[in-house]
Amino acid sequence: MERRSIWRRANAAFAVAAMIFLLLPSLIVVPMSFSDSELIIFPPKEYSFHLYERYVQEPGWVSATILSFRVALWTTILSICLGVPAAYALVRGQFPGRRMLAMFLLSPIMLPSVVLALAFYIYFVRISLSQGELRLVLAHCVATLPFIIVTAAAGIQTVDANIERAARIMGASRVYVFRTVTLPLVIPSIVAGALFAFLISFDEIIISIFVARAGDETLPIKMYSSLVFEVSPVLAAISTMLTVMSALICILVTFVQKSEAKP
Amino acid sequence: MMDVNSTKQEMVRLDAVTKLYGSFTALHETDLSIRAGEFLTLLGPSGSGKTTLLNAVAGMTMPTSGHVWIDSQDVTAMPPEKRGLGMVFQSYALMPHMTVFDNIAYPLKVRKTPKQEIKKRVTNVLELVRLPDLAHRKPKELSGGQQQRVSIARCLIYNPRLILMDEPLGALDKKLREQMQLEIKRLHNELGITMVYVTHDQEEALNMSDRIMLMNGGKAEQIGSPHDLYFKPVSQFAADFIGQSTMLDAKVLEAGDPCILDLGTSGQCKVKAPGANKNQSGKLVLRPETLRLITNDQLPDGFNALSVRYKDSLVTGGTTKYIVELENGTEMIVQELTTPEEAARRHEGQLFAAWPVEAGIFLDQ
Repeated sequence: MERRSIWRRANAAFAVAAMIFLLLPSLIVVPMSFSDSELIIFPPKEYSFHLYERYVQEPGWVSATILSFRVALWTTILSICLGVPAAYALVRGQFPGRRMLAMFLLSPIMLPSVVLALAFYIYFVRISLSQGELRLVLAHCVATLPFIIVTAAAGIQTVDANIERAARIMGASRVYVFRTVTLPLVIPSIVAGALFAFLISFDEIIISIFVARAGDETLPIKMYSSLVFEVSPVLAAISTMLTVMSALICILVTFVQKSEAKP
Repeated sequence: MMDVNSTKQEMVRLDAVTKLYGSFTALHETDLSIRAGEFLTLLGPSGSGKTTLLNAVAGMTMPTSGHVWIDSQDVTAMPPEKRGLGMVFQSYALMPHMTVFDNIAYPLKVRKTPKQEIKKRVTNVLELVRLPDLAHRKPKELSGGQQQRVSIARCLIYNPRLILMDEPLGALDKKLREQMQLEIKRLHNELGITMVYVTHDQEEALNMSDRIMLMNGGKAEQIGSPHDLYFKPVSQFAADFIGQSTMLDAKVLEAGDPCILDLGTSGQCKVKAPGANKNQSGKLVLRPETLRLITNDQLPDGFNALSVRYKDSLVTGGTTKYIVELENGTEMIVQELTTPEEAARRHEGQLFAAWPVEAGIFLDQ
């Protein structure tokens, strides 16, 4: 009994230590972002919103943020439009090659990002697609599609297929059943998937660097180049904002999934 | 003229329908005709093909070969939503995100019925299935029996010509099942809708059906009225599946009317079996309620009797089941009306199980 509780405590202590180790780098940036200094130092000597003001005033930061938002938004919309019907077909459909198709659609998770990035680069040049934002959206969409498919498929699996059968026998077409029965029941899963897709697209950098054109700097690209050329302390402010955004989205996902378990 | 009339009254016809999944035959070539207004039950153990057959009628399964006709129309390739049927599932299949009202109104909304009329009809049908004011509850807040009533109401509201029920009472407890059996039977009688009912519960099938199609291994074993299936089983499977019975190994000693069976060490008996041939072997089937326990000096004319030993008895109210044992150790179940002298029987040393010659059934397969 005594020994057991010692083990349990040791276990808990280890878990907490691991968590601190993983979280510390992101948390250390937070106080740094309120620094008054022009240099990245820890701990800061004086606190102010100086770096946040610079983020707004310096050219390029806000426009990069807006571009990232736009790309993430279109990516999310496009991958929902493609991923949800695909998930439905994979869960409910009975056709030869279903498993192969599932593997294929999920393969972007398994491939190294660099490989995907290079493939997109070559492919876009080949088909002479020069519109930078469209390039970003299409490439990001392939990378986020697996997440939408996995979450939507998990949601669809929890819907009793007999409910859909019953609705069809009552005279509703496949499309009508999907719209009035399946979709309302899987909305929470789709929202969770969409939030993840948005987040992934928003801070995706490897693929973006390969496919973006000179004028199209997404926020992560701009951050990276500013790190390479000048090590601007504004980065601490941006990182803090990104951390807050990620945390909010994760909280939102948890909340959405909780409401899904309710109905 | 007769022909036209009889096809008009036919609601469902299966023409040589089969269903294969890969190399597995779920349904062997089956023909079936269901009259309009009939209550037909597909009865059989799980995996006997009854649900496959039901799904072929519903349009959820495409037959591998053969044709399905509903109301004189070939619907083999027609999608389920065009067939104008109703279906009730064991899992109720109610939409969890809709209220009882919206669930029942769903088929009317699909048909773009005006709101006023929807309201009127939902109210009516809720009365028909005897559901108190539950229209604004969610399915999750109802009991199993109430949920099944809602799903039946959802079928009745659009007056389908045919209602299919796939083990609708399978998830309910015994008392509620019996109550719902009567309820479904009442709705069938009142509304005259053709019903095809799937169950593995022989008692339920006997209670409710006009006709029963007994299925086994993807084939129809026997089709007939509950009375036929009980008193004239065509096979050992049918005799064993429906009702309780004692089955004794038997061999035809002498063909004729009646023919004489050899029951091995237990003795001999007479049975009506016009088709039987000499030396044919099979089983003698005896229903518990046709058997009597008697002492030696009581044997009436026209009865068979076998010497038995008393083992146990179960008083089930008005009737008592005696478990007795033949010379060779085979158990027999004898059902008699309970009498005040019941207890005395255990002590009447030498006992015989007797039955009228015409009550025995000889089955060679």
